[in-house]
Amino acid sequence: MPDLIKPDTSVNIGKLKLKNPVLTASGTFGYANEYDDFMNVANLGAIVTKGITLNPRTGNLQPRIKEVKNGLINSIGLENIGSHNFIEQKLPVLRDNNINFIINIAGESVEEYVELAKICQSNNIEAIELNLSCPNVKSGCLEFGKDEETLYKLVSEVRNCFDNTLIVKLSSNVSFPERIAKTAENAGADAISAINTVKAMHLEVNIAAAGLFPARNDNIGFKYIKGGMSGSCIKPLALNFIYEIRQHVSIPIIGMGGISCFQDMLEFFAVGADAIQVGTANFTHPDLSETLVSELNNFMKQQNYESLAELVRDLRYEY
Amino acid sequence: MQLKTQNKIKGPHIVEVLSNIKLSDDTRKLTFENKTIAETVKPGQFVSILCEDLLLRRPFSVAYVKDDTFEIIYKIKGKGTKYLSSLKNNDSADIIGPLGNGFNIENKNSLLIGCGVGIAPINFLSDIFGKEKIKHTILFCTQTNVTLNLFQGLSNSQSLLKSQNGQIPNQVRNDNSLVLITEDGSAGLEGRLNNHLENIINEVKPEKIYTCGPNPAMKYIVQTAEKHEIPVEVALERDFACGTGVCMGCVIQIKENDKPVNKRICKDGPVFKGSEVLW
Repeated sequence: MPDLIKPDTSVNIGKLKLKNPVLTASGTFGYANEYDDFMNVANLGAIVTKGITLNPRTGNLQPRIKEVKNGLINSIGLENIGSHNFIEQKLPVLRDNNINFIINIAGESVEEYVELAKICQSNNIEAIELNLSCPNVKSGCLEFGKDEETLYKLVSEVRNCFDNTLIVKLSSNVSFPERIAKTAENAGADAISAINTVKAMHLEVNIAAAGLFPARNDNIGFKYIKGGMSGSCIKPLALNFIYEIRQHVSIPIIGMGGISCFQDMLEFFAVGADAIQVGTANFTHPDLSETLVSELNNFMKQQNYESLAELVRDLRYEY
Repeated sequence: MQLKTQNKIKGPHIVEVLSNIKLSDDTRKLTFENKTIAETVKPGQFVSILCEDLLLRRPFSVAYVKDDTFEIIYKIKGKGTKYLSSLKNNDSADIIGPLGNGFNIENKNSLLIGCGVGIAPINFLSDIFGKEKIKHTILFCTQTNVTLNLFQGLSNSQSLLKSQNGQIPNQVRNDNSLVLITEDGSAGLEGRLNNHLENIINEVKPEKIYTCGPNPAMKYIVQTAEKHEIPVEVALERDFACGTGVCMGCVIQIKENDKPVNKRICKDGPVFKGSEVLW
């Protein structure tokens, strides 16, 4: 029976060995076992935690979310419990439940990133993802992901104090993706994850019988939200971004941006991803990531693939 | 280490549609069959329904439970509820839940106020109060009369007729009263909540109020109840992205030890103490 042979779906990201390439994206899956009501979280390759800052953050004011066609704009502003509470309350849950995890960290300065990385190092965290591209915080974060010089400084300083797997999460809101990606690699990143949400804005202009509503001189303004867009509408941007950086870096790429089915996952492998993250689709289908793991296993069995590497090789193509 | 074995307890459940009944021009009641949800859901909790092409699920309070079935009440407003209105007997729907925390039921003479589609969780709550034999008065405040179809088997439709002189209509359910306020005067008292609430509180003398409805209505109820020193539990709503507490999209400020803290409506709520909500 071929069923007895379990295909090897594992993939290495730096020192981190993942049992499968399906991860969940930061900010869409909580800190630990929040999705236990919908699946066995330990079946996933890894979860990436909600972005953790040194101190707790209360985030942005409402409105924080707006659904647009095939997409979601969010402006959460990195609300999180902070590194201390995370280590005290959530880390034990992750470890007790055998959940593979990557900690997403975000700072407002190089020093803060370094301090967070040191905290992770001293707690023997296996992997961290540097959030350099959150579009919703006023200082720090996003700016680090744009400028090659500051990016290099930041990644190399974090590298100096963190021995385990260091992943750098990039924004697509840059002019030269390949330069930014190459800079991260040169500075010592073990892997790149991309793309973060895309800067976006939604507003409602209302037209009433009498003209604009509110009227021109009401000075109320229109309801609006500025934030980061995710969901299937950004998938083409993500595929192109990953395709472009794949030509320039040799470290693994964890692809994300609008993945909502098995086919989407294969598309990301095809353009150069070595693993993937499910993000916004977790909200729609809370068990999607676990389903992708089993669909991948079934597909590989059916198609007689012994290893994921073999499947990925077949999907890759110089487009 | 062995993981807990019971996964997927909150779905996604593929549930069967039993009926989709019109309550008024734009309000409907959908009945689904699902044993897990029906057995576990509490008044104030909600389910989140996948609506065809929409990216995000839409949350709905459970309005009633009987045997293996449960109901929701919805107003046709956007794409999601339009999709719901297309569902018919034998169709299926993809639902997660029950989600959030329900009302804290206490054995106190209670006034249960539902405004608009906020009648949904209040209807469910009143049923539990009835079963637990807790003294209560139901107050439904709607634009037009939606109750004739809501309470199937309610024979005493007399009491739903427009009452005179602003008096509270007759009791319709055992020992407990049902009071209706309709904006168009098609049943019960004519007008809006603020025309009648003081009178009703003075008559019923509730020890506790439970409510669900639009924020301005609930805020008004909380302020009015404060004057009478009556505690209020409110069931809030807001657009949810996840509905499960991970995205932080629905947070509201709640007073905790006199300090404002962020609470997630979907996970920490949707039921909160009215006096703690920073509206």
